Amino acid sequence: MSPPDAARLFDQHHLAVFRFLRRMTGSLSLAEDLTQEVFLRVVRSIDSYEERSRETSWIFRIARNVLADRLRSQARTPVDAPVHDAVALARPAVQPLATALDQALSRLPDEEREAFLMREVGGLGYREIAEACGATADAARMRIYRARLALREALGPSRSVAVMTPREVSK
Amino acid sequence: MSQDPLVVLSAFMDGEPVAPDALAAALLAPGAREALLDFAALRAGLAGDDSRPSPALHRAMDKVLSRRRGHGWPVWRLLQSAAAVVVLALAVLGAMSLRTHFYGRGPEEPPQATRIIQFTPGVDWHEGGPQ
Repeated sequence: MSPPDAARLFDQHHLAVFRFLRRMTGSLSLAEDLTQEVFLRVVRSIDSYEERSRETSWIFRIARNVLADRLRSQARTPVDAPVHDAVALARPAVQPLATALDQALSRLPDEEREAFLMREVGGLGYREIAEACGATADAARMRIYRARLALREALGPSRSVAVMTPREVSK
Repeated sequence: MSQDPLVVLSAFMDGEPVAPDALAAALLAPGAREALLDFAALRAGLAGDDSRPSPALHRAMDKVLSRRRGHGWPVWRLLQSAAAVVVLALAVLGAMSLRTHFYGRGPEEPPQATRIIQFTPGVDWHEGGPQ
């Protein structure tokens, strides 16, 4: 079986990886830098890609490793910068939620935040998240659940629902 | 799987398999409706992110990806072509041998005459063989 095509992998996954890394780091420029590093690693290691691992899990595992390497080599980015990034990008109607959401996300434990963002931003299933994080599917389920509870707690039930229109709720 | 109603609802939100009984029980639990709405609001909040990397990332990656394609393509393409030629040759040989097997070699006709030689009995040959 031939390895997957690197160009196709980039086209298909770079946005999800970029947005995942942006949420994880809170910085657009750092996320872009890390996304490039992720796909350089993908290109370098594509011949050793194993078929039994799902493409998405494999790429997000690389993203996770790239991020961990970067965090090890530098002090963690303060919370202020990410919040400003997020506010600048959010649609006006959801700006208050975007700000609060980014702040709440930044306070989550890393394991819960990455599992939650892989699910919500990357669209990965529990098995894929488990493969990417080296955990079990049950652990992924519980991390996502705990992240949701913590975010809900931080945002407050009335606040998170208040910013949604009836159409958004029914979607 | 845990039967905690909010764990069930969280998994249901994610499109993961949940037992219908567990889901029914979870939906009846106090606060289930509010929890589902809050989970949906979180999703909507994150879905509003339409950030994109700058064109610089695309330019950098295009360079890397086209270099890789240029480097790896000829060998791979050469092997593919060689394999295709071998398969085609084997198919033609196979078809020919099957045809011979089932239909024989076909009618064998004598060659066309190029000149006519006439022999006169008693002059050019004699009955009873050579004497």
